[in-house]
Amino acid sequence: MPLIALMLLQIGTAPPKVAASVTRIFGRGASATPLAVNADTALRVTRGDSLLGYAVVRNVKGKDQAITFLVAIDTADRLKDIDILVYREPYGGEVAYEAWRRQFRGKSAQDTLEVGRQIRSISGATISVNAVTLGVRRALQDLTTWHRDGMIK
Amino acid sequence: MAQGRNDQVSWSWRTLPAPLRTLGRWLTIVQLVGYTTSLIFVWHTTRLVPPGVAARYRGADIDSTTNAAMQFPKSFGEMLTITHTHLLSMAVIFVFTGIGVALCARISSRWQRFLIAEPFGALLVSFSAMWLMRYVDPRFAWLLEASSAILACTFYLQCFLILRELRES
Repeated sequence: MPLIALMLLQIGTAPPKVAASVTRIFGRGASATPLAVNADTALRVTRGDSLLGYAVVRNVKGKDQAITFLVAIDTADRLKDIDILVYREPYGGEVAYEAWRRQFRGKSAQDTLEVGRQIRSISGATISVNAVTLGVRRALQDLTTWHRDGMIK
Repeated sequence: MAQGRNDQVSWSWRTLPAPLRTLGRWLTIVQLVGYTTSLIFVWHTTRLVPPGVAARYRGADIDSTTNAAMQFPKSFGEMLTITHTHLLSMAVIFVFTGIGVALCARISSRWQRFLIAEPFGALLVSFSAMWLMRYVDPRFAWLLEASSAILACTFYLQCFLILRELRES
């Protein structure tokens, strides 16, 4: 099980950075609860009694360092937004910019999320763009599969 | 030590041991390849024209509907990283070529001093222009282009003089 998933489960609630990201994406009052899924951990996002969607926190390797990001979907399995939680490299931090991240909104697991076609690259941040895009594609597929198979409710 | 200016003349490629001349020759060749590669890289990213350089640092095409890569403005942190890494590494390059020029006996002392000092001045102008272009006015890209061109010409001239001297010694 990835370290980040273990930490989420042990804490029982989302860490401040993850909670802030969930609030930014789903709005005020949204809270995230960790759910164990196979060897991973998803976040169930609710406001009061209503279910808003799901999220997952993952790491991908950039040029040298890990990039920690969050992917959130709504209840219709559409990608709500992504967030770069921790970016550690000296270059390529533009993947955290709103103008790039917004390209992912509304995408589903059927979308190929191919850099240069559905997702524009960023000059000077090619490695980070490819790494994060691949990570988002996998996270979106996982969340969609878990949701459709009833593994997260 | 205190014998005066005549001692400076005795230090030349011709009087150095053969292994040091070999070192100088190969160091110059490797630096030539490295510098040329860096120019090709800059051509690839900016086409070596001022508008391309300004776009690289100030951003462009962010809202374009094409699939072209986005170009975001360089952040303050990135500007600091680019400046310190380039300034320090290029200073080292020009220390090596400067020593090579200083050992060239066929060049007058005045030209030697000019060729040794000019790259350091051009480096300061180039990186000042880079910051001004990023934060003040994109037209400073022309100053950056001019000083970088002079810097490159000086580098190739230095290498030519060093290799010519080594071939003859």
